[in-house]
Amino acid sequence: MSSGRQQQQLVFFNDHSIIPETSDEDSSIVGIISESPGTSAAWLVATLIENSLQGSANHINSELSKRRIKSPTLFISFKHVGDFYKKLCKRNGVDLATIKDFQYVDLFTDLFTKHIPSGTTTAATNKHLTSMFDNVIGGIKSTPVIFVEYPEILLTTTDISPNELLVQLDRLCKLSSRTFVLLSTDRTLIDFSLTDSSDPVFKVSDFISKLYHRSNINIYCQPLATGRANDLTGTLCISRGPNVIEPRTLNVASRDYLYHINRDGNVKLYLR
Amino acid sequence: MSFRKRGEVVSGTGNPLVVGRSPALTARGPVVPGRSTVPGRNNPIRGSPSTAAPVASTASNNVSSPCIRPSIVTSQPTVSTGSSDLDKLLLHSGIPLGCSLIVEESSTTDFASVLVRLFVSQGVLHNRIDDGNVQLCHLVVVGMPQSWANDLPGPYKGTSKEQKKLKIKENEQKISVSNLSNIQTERQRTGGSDLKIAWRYGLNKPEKESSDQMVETETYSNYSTQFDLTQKFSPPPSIQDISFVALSPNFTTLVNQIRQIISTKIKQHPDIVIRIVLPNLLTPSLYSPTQSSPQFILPLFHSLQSLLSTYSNNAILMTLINLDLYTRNHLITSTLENIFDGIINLQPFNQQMSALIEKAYKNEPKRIQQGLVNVIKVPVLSERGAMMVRMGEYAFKNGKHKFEIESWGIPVIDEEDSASNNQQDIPQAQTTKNIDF
Repeated sequence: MSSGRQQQQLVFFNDHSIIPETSDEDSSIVGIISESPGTSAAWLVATLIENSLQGSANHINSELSKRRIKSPTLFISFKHVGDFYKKLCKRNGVDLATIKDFQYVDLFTDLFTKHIPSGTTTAATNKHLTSMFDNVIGGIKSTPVIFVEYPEILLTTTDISPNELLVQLDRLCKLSSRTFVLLSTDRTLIDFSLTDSSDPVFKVSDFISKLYHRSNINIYCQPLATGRANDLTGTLCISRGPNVIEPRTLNVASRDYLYHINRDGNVKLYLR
Repeated sequence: MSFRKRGEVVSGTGNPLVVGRSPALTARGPVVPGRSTVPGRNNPIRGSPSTAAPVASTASNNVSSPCIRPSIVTSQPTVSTGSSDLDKLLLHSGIPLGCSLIVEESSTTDFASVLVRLFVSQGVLHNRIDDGNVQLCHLVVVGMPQSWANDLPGPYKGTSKEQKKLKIKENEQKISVSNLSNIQTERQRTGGSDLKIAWRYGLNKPEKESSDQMVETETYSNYSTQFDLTQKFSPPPSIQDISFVALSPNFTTLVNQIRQIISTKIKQHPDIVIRIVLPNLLTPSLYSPTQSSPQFILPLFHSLQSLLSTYSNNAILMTLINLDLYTRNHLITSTLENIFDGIINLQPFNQQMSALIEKAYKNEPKRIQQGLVNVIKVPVLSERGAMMVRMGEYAFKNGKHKFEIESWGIPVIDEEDSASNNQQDIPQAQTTKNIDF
């Protein structure tokens, strides 16, 4: 199927960029990257890290004009240890261990044994959450590109309410020019018919819907609706979020791509 | 005139230390078979360990363990699940160390527990390599009583005929008067002529396997074992093999207990493989309502996953969950699918399908499959973004001696048979109208 199609270069915005350059007049951009269990977006995240640190995206856009200003990058993960992205980025020619502008905050290891201990009251859990984000924010020096991976795990495992988590994410967004929130929750889990605010499904649904209302760009990796194919991995949908980007000249290049990742990790994109 | 091939090494000495032989020794000419070496004339160079030592040191300690082999796909150290077919399905030839696997089952059947038992049996067997002198593997079983380990399947010893033959051979090899007299009479009877002819035509030579397969089977001979589901593991596993951890109301206590076991074992044996097993996850008879809540189970697995990443060179985890109580759309299952590295889904056939397959394979009952095996996530590869979902492509059959997984195809029923059956069953089914257009 993909053999007859022309390979495409990935861009997210109409200025042919993946992460647009920042200026003082710009409003901050919030992007949501969501994935399904069968189609992990780790390859895309690795590319975004590469683009933010080096301005390039060698694997998915060889014609990309490099960014003039390289941004410091902060990666907060509730899902992976730092080695995971170090290995992935090495494939893209980025050695995260040697780059000073890259900071990895591992909230995955010992999350429920050290950062947010179990068996505490709701108020105490909220305190732990605030102090955890305080520590992260305290380490930020300049305006970085921030990635937050799998924050919704806090809603299903603790008493934290969606609004409290959003408040913490908003604090991060204010300090950053571009923020990407990586969601791993399957869309089938979202249920708006629930009314019990303590139900974890309600909390996740509430959090995701409120987060989408704050987003400027939504990126979704999903498997093919027609089933598995040997020469295609899934579809990559890029759409505009409800929030408007300032300056208004910058728009999201809404497109649907088909993509294929081979076993060596090379990615090919085709227009749908 | 000689029948010997040029490159063939002359046997007779049976010395495995040929690797260390110096060129001067080879120049002496071949050793005459059957002639014994003169005592005291053994060249010390032959037995010199200096040549063999670097070979052992080049391999990493962990991979040199007989229960670990490098993954076919990523070269990561990998451990067998106890089912060779499942190992193949996971593409790595097992589960890579530091990874976790969840087996889901969507029916009231209990096939998934067979896989978990095989996984445990394999661990126990690995621990008994070298008569248990070196502890290579240890199991941590969570939430089950110690009696659970008494029903583990034992290694497959062959069919009853093969076992009888083995016993006879063992008896024959014993030195006794009757055995020796039997050998002499047999030699006299045959006169050795058959053997000569057999030697000429190479009939006595064992069948040569392809070199790659031979190397693989020799190098990883203890890696994966076939288990007999009808046999119990004997002697049953002891505390040396398995640590049982009871479920506690607080998941932190549970995680700390497991962490302590792992760290203690690693201190004693740095290359040890720890297999963490949670059989029958969320079964109401084992897990209380508070232990079945997302606030308990999800932080537990999140913490266990972080434990695996801490001990990524030593620990693996396997669990099973029944999808009847917790469907794939349920919050717990969906979140667990996010957390786990590998997901296998067993989908037993419904009654109609089972009847159809039985009908199709009525003459070949060994081919009857019991359900589908769906692959949802493969450790490492799925995390990197590769599409590894395989729905309805494989089927499993749980026999006495093996849990087999093979590619699935809808069975074809013989037209003649079905036609004759139909005629017998519904004689009025044939239409009398002309259906030509």
